[in-house]
Amino acid sequence: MKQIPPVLLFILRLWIGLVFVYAGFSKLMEPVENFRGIIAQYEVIPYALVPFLSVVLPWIEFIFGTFMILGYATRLSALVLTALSFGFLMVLGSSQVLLGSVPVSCGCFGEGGIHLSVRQIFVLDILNTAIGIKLFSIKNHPFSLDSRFK
Amino acid sequence: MNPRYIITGALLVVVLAGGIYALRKNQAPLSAGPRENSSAHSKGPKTAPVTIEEFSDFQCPACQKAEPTLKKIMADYPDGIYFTFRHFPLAGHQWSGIAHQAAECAAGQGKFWEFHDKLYDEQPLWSGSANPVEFFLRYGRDLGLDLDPFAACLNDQKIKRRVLLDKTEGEAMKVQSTPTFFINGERVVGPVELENKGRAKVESLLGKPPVLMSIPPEKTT
Repeated sequence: MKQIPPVLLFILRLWIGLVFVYAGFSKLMEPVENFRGIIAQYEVIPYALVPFLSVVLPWIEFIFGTFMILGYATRLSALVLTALSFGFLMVLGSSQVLLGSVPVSCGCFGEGGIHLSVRQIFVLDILNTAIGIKLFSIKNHPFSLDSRFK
Repeated sequence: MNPRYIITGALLVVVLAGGIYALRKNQAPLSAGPRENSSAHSKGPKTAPVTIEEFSDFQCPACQKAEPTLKKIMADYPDGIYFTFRHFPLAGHQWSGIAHQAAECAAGQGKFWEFHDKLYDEQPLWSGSANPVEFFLRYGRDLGLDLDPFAACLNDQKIKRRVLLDKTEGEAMKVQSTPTFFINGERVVGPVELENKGRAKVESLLGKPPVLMSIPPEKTT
C-alpha cells in the first residue's frame, strides 16, 4: 500500500486536532448549561448521563485535540477522537432514524460560532472518523512530541 | 514507560486546564434576570416569587416544543410566576427577524401574546412558506388588528432595533441557543431541560402544584 507523505499526515493531525480544540474550547468558554440543554434534546442519550457528559465532553475534546496537534500520545488521542466522532455520528444517525429529526437547527453551535447544516455535520463526522482511524493505524507520527521521546 | 513522557503529559494537562480557568475567570460577569427598564413583554404578578425570562425564536422548533411545558408551568402557578418574553431571532432562520418584528407590531396594537401564540401554533406553515408576510397579515386580520398600520410597521426600523436590542442583551448574557430560560436567574436551556430541571426548580421554590380532583356527584335514589 502506498505510504502517506509525512507532511500530509501532519496536516491530517492538525485538521482533526483543530476541529476538536475549537469544539471543546468554544463549549468551555460558555456556561455549561448551554451544552447541557443541547445534548438533553438528543432523546437517544439517557437523561441521567446528560449532566456528566455536558461537563466531561468539552474537556476531552479540548485536551485530546491539543494532544493530537502536538503529537503527544498520538495513537491514544486518535482513538479517543475517532470514538467521539463515531459516537456523534451514531447519535445523529439514530436521532434521524428513530425520531425523524436532529435537533441542531436552533443555534446548537452557537450564534457567534460556525453554522453547520445537519448534512455538513454528518460529512464532518464521517471525515473525522476516517482520519482518526488512519492516524490510529500509524505507529510513527512525523513532527510529533512522541517522536522526540523515542 | 518513560517517566519524562508521563510528566510531559501531566504538565500539558495542567497548563491547558489552567489556561481555561484563567480565561474563564477573566470573563465579564454575566447579568441575568429581567430588567425593569426594558420594553420586554411580561405577564403574571410583578411581585411573584419566581421570575422566568425566556429568550426565544419564533421559527425555532425547539421553542415551539417548549411552549406546552411553559404554559403548563404557568397554569400550575398562576400567582407565583412573573414571565418575560425576549426576542432572540437566530441568524440561521430565514424568517425569524420579520416574525419577531410582526409580533412587536401586534404588540403596538395590544395583541402581543395572541400573535405570539399564533406564530408558534402555525410555525410549520409560515416558516416553510416563500412569503411569510402573507401569513402574518392573515393572523393580524384574524386577531382584529388594524392592518394598514400593522403592514407599515413591518418595515419600521425602530421596531427592528427593539427586537435586536433584546438579542444583544441575550448575547451579553451568553445566550447561544433557543429557547434559553432564566428561572430566578438560573439558566435552563432547551425544552427537555425546561421539563426536567426547570420544573424541578419552580417546584423547589413554590412547592408541588395543587392536584385538582373532580369529585363524582353523589348518587340520588
